[in-house]
Amino acid sequence: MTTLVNFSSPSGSDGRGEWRTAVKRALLFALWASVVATGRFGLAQTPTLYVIGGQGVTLTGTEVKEVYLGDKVFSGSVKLVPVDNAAAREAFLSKVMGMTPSKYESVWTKKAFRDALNPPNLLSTDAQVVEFVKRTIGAVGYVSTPPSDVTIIQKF
Amino acid sequence: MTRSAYDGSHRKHMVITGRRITENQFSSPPTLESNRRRIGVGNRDRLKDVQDGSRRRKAPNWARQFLLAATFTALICGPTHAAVAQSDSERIAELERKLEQSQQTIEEMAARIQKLEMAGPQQQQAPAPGAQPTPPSAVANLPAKEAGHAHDAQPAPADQGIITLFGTPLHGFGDVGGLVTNAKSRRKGFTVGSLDFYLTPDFGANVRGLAELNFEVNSEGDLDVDLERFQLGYAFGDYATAWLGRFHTPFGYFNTAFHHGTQLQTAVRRPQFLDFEDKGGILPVHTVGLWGTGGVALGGGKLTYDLYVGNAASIEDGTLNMNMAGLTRFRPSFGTTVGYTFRGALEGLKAGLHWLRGDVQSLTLNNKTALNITGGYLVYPEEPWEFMTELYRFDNKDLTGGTGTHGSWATFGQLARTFGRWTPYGRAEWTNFNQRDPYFHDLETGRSYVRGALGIRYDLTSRAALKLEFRRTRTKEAGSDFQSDNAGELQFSIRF
Repeated sequence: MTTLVNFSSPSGSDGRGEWRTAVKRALLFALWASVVATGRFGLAQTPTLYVIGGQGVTLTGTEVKEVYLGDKVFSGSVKLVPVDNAAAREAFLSKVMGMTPSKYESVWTKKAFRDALNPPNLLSTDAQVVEFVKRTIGAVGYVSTPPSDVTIIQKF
Repeated sequence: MTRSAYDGSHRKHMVITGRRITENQFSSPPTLESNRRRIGVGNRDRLKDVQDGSRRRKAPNWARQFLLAATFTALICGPTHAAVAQSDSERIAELERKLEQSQQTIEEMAARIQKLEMAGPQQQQAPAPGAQPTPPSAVANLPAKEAGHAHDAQPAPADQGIITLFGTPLHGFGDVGGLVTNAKSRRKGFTVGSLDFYLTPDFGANVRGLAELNFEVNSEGDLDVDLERFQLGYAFGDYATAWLGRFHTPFGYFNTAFHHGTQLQTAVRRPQFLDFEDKGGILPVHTVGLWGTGGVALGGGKLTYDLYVGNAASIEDGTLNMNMAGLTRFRPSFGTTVGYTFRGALEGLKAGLHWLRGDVQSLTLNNKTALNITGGYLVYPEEPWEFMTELYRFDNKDLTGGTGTHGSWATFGQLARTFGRWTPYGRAEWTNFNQRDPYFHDLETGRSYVRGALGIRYDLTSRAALKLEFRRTRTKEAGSDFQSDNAGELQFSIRF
């Protein structure tokens, strides 16, 4: 029966060879494990997010956060209609807003109570968000796949 | 030659085969022996029969070979099988597509039914002239096909469990608890705090509203129902929104940030001097009137402002009355607050200055006082730390008695630190109300006091909190005597 690594007192040139082989195997195993773990457990970097805007939306990258916090409601004379994307919400909150879903909800509770503003509504998929943004004046959304035929405000 | 050779070899083969069969499978060797003899005499018919019989007996071998061949063929013809499998997967995919379409149609129909059931139309803006895209409300109120988007999905509230009224989310707060105190004038035991509902409907791109209804149990144990806020507004932009109606008077930070939202505030109680008018508050925390508010970016942060004018308050039976129905003779109150929200390294820090002016009529004393309040606030409400402090300076002028202007002070500071679900906190309140000022003299709770409170809050969920608070209050009575009381209060508060 073969063993992956033989730790039994290597000696001489054969022993050194065994150690080298063992180290090589261990390194290869570590490399393989890291690749598997990265793919399996999502340790890979968070997906690229594209913030998109509908007709009449002129925003800078830094204003995106303000829009999703209810601090910016208008773009010029156009009322902004931000929508959340269930498929990319967690990544968006973490990457762009720097907060947890619970904190985000809490922020909007206060915003509604204090300023009479309603939180962004929720759509399920990238395709729905793109479609909504295309056909809604002032709409702002975010997707995780590169969109077409729509203005990309900022890439995160 | 060929034929005989063939025959010979065949014969030989048959003999061998026959022997094998005999040895392995048949239990009657004499029959085979006689067959061999018959072959030996050249009886070809018999040989043929034997040959057939032998072939039949060889069936298991052929079956084995057939299976092998079939397996081999299957391997060779793999692509054919894959094609069949592929056609199956295509069929499944097609079925899935159809199912998805059906599901989408059902969802669209359900959305349509919901829209039809709603009494009022959804808010949103009118389309810009010549604009291709349609506003969300226009799309929302049309069936997908009418809107020209058979597969359009309508955005739904992020919180699916939310209650809606006329298509608008219904939010609210509630709290219950218990109080233990050595103050003789206070009731003890289990208590029902308040149940507060509010709606924030949109009536288009620029028009929005807020309605808040509060049910609370007063100190006598009776149920009071108050229209806490009812305001309708028009937003010109981020820089200006005009509100008309009854609103939270925008001074300081605490009054507009928490008000009846007990679950939002860390502590159990509001600072006493900021309490509601009918609960012993000495400030007009509500105003019925016109309010302009907005903000502009400035120096990396945001400059905010509030300007308001409304009905001046009256004092009736030692309590402030905000004159929601107007006044027999109009007396205005007006004020302003200018604040700054920091960004960058000081993200979350807010500071501001406020001023309020109004002539308050005391119906009990039949006099009039020019209420003049200035002050400021500094808050940092960002987790894990929460710090807030507010200061109020009163320079009230006696307009009837001519006793001059009287100065008073009120302030509080609060510090809290969150550790996971636990948030211990402390608060100190200090007031010095001049009793020569008719305003404070006439208010039932217009006595100077000092209060210290320590408490801990435990967040059961993001929407439910348990709070336990101990506080000690020293109230200045007539003369220079102080009366002290201690209290322990438990509160279970929720928001929805």
